[in-house]
Amino acid sequence: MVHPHGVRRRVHVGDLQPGDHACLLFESDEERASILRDFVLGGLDAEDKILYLSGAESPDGPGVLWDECRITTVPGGLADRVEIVRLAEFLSVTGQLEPAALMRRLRTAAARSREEGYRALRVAGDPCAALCDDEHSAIGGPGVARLLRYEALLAKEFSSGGALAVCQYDIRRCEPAALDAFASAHARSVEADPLVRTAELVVVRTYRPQGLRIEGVVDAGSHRRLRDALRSVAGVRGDVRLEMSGVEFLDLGGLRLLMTFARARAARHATVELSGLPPHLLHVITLVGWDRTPGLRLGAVHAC
Amino acid sequence: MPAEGSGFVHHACLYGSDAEFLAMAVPFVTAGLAAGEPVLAATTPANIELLRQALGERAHALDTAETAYFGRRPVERVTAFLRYHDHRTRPGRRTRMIAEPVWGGKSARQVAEWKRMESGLNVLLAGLPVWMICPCDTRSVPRDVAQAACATHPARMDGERLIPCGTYADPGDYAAGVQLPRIAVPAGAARTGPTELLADVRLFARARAVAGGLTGERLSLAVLAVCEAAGYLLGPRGARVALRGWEEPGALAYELLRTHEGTGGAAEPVPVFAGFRPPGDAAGPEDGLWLARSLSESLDVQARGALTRLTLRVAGPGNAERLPPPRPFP
Repeated sequence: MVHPHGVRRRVHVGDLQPGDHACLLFESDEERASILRDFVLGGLDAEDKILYLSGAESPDGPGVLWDECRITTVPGGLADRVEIVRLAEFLSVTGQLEPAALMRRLRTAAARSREEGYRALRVAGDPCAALCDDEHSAIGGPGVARLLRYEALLAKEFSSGGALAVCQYDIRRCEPAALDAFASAHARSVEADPLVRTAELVVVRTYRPQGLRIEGVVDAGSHRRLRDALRSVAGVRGDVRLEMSGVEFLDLGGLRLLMTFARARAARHATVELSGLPPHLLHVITLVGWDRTPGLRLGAVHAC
Repeated sequence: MPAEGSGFVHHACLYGSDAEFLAMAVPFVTAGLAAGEPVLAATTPANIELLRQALGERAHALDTAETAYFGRRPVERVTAFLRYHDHRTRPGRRTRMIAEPVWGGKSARQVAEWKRMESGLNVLLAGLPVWMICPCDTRSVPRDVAQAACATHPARMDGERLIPCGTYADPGDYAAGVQLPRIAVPAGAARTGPTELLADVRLFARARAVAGGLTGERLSLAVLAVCEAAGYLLGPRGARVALRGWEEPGALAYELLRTHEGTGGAAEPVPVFAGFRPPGDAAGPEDGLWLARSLSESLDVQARGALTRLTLRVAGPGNAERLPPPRPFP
C-alpha cells in the first residue's frame, strides 16, 4: 500500500491552487469530512465555483455535500456556487464509468465557471463511487483501469490552471494495488490545514495514526498554540501519535505540555507516542525523569 | 544519638582514620536501620567496604552509592539526594544519608562550587525529613575544605557526639563570600543583543556552537542550555539579555548579561541557590535554570546592581566523556 505521506508532495488543503490535482487517501469519515470541509469553505474565500461528484443516486441539492463535510451552518453565498453532479450519469448501460463523458462535463463546467466570473472550478468527489454499488466490497479489478483513465484525463485537463481537484479514495475500500495506482495518478496528496502555522511552528492534524505532526520551534512564545493543538486531539479515542522528527527546538516548558497530555491520556487508558523524537530531547526527557510518565511511549528516535 | 526534629539536619564529620569514620557511621546507620528508616551511604568505595564489614548481616539493608557517581556536579548531586529521598521515603520516617563529597583532584572552580553547594543544601533540602552527615577525610582533604565543612554545616559529629560549628555561616552570606575564579572574556568574543527575543538567543547560541565544532545531539543540547538560561533571565517584564560567546580549551562559554528596561525597576535578583532542584509535578519558575545547569559543565550567576551576569560553559567537541557510541552497521 502506498503511504499517503510517501513520495508524493504533501500539500495542505488551504494551499491548493488552480492547476493542482491532488488525492485524499482517507481512512475515517472524520478525516475526509475535515479536509473536504476546508476545501469547500476555501472555495468561498478564493472566489471559486465548487463542483461535487456525488455517488448518491438522487442527490437533493447541496445537502449531500453539507452532510459529507459535516457542515451544520452553511455560510452565506456558499450554496449558490455549489453544483452537484451525479457520477451515475456517466455510467454506460453495462455500468462502466465513461471517463471521456465525465471529462467533457467537467470541462464545460470549468469554462462556465470562468464565464460566470469565478476564479476557478474546484472539483471534489470519490471516484470509486462510480465503480461499485456495494459499499462492503473492495475496489479492484477492471474498473480500476477506467478510473485511472479518468484521472489521467483530469490531470492533463486541469494542468492548464482553470480548475483544481481533490480526488478522495477510501483506504478501507480499495485493494492495495488499486490504491497504489490511484495514488500514483496524482502529483500531490492533500492533508488537513495546519492547526498552527506561524513563521516558526507548524502543527498538523494527522489521522493515520491519529495525532499531530509538529514541525519547527516550540518556545515560551508558542506554548499556548501547542497546548491548543493538543486539546484538539484530546477527544480522540485510543492512542495518539505525535510525529516529532521535524522539531527543530522544543524547550522544557513545551516538553512538559507533552508529558501533561500523556498523563491525561493515561487516565483514559490510552497512550501518547512520541515518534521521531530528536535524540537530544530523549536525553532531556530521561534527565528530568519524564521517561516514566504514565501514558508516554517513546517511539523510534530520529537519526541526526 | 542527636538530631531531633522533622526538618533537614545537616552535620559534618571530620575524621582522620578508618576507626573515626566507623565510630560515626556504624551507630548512625545501625540506629537508622533499627528504626526502619531508609539509610544511604554515598561515600568512597573503601569506606563502603569498611562499613559493610562492620555492619555484617545488617549491611544488606543499607543503600550505597559510590560517591563519585552520585552526582558528578553540584546540580546533579542535589538532584541525586532529592531523588533518593523521593524513591525511598517512608511515611512518618526520616531518611538518613552519609554523603561524602569527592574533593581530591577537583579544580579550584569545582571546589568553590561544591563548598557553595554544601552550604546551599541547608536551604535546598530545608523541610525535608532528612538527616545528612557529610564525612570529610582530614587525611586527604586540603585544610580549606575541612574549614569550610565547619562553615557549611551547623554542627559536626565526632563519633556519636554532636559539636556545634562555631563558624557556621548563613548559606546566602557564605555563598556570596566564596569567590569563583574570574572569567576573562576574550576581546574577540562574539556578541549579540541586548534582546528580549528568544529567537535571537537561539540563533546566536546555535551559531556559536556550530563555530565551536559541536554537531548533532551535543549541538542541540548546547543551544537548549543557553536558551533555558536566557528564558529564566527574561522572565521578568522588561528584561533583556546581551550575549557573548567564546571558545575555551574543552568548552564553549556563553555570557548572558541581563539588563532591565522599563518603569518597573530592576528585576528581582536571582536567588543564590536557584535552579538546583529538578522539575516537579507542577511547572516551576526555576525549571529551565535547572535544565541549563544540568546541561552545562558550569553555570554561575552574579549580580551587580541592576545587572545580572550568567556565565555557562558547555563541553566542547574535544570532551571525550560525551562521545556518542559508534553508529551500528556503518
